[in-house]
Amino acid sequence: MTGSQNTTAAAAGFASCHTCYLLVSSDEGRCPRCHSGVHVRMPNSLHRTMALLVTAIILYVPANVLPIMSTTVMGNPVDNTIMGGVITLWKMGSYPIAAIIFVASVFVPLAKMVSLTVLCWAAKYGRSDPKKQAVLYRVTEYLGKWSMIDVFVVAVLVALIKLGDVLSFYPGLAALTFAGVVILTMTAAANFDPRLIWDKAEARVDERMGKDE
Amino acid sequence: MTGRSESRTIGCVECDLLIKLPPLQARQRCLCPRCGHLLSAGNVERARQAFPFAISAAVLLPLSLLFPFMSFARSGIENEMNLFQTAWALYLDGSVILSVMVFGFIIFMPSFVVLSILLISLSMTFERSFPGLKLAARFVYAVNSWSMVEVFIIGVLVSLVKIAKMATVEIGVSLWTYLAFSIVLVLAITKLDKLVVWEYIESLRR
Repeated sequence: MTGSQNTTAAAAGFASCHTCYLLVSSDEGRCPRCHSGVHVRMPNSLHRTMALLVTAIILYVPANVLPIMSTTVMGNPVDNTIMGGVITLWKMGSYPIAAIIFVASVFVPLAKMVSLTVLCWAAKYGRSDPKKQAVLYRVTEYLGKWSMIDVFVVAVLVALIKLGDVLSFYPGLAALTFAGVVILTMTAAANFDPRLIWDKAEARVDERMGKDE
Repeated sequence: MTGRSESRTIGCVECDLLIKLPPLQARQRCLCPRCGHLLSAGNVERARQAFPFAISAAVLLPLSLLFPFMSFARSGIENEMNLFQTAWALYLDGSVILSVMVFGFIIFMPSFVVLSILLISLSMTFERSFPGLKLAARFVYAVNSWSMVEVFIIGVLVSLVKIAKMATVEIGVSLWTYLAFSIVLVLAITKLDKLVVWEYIESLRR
């Protein structure tokens, strides 16, 4: 292999296996080491990411409007939404917990949806600094599962607090739609191919160099 | 089969840059010079350290299913629950899909991850291949993002704070074993670097 400084695997005629990192000749469909399918770039990456993202955005509405949990106290049912839960905790004086729930259930899902949109935009139209996008992608991928906290809170409370009419908790529809939002954004991030950002940045540099000549 | 030196050239999975990886010491890591992605960490020696954690995880998960997780009492009525009931109660209340998801995230996927890392660690310790080794290595990293043990632990802590003022809450043995499980599982997985594991598997066949 010639050691030019920024040679990509694709430019050298190779594809790197996503499962075991083996470099495979790009016309080979299957990795000889781990037998998983190999692609130079994830097929239809941006289409898939956008489709999952749009579905997540649609589901995000009922997740916030519908009750995530209903509480029966002395026979009176009360519905709780995600934001309502945060406000209740805040009024109770549990500021750190209110902050955790707010960050995990409101801020992180929104931030993930915005950052995936930005990433898709960058991969399609190009941005000045791909290194920033790389960090954004890594953070988005890492944060993925942490929004599930509220769903687990519902699961624990529903199982634990079952004292008949005295005090009982029941799951609401928003718990399901919210879990859906988290799963969809996680899958969207997994379907996004970060190499597209670098491809685009490289293409832009080539374009500029072409103009200079 | 190609020679060892050529198999150390890899393409960064995040930016596709071709990189010649030097042999790493147990405590060394290699980052992509262009995008900063962690390419590989440590060597087989470090990966072997996962074994005790894998064994502990394999003991702690079944224990977490056996004992009470938490109990809650108010006005003379008490309710005790175990780990499995966090999923089962949702099913009983009619949230079937949510129940399956929760079961998957906190019990099924983690079990799968534990079995896989146990198989990989056993193979590394005794330096022999086992049936299903490749399958374990193929799916363990993919399934891992769907195993949400540590997220569930935070969820439990939040729940505790939410209800602490409502009544008497008691913590059962299983909560402690599951907490320990979450720690050893993370330790075991970070020791098992993906590239190191695959190069080890490849070396077995030679």
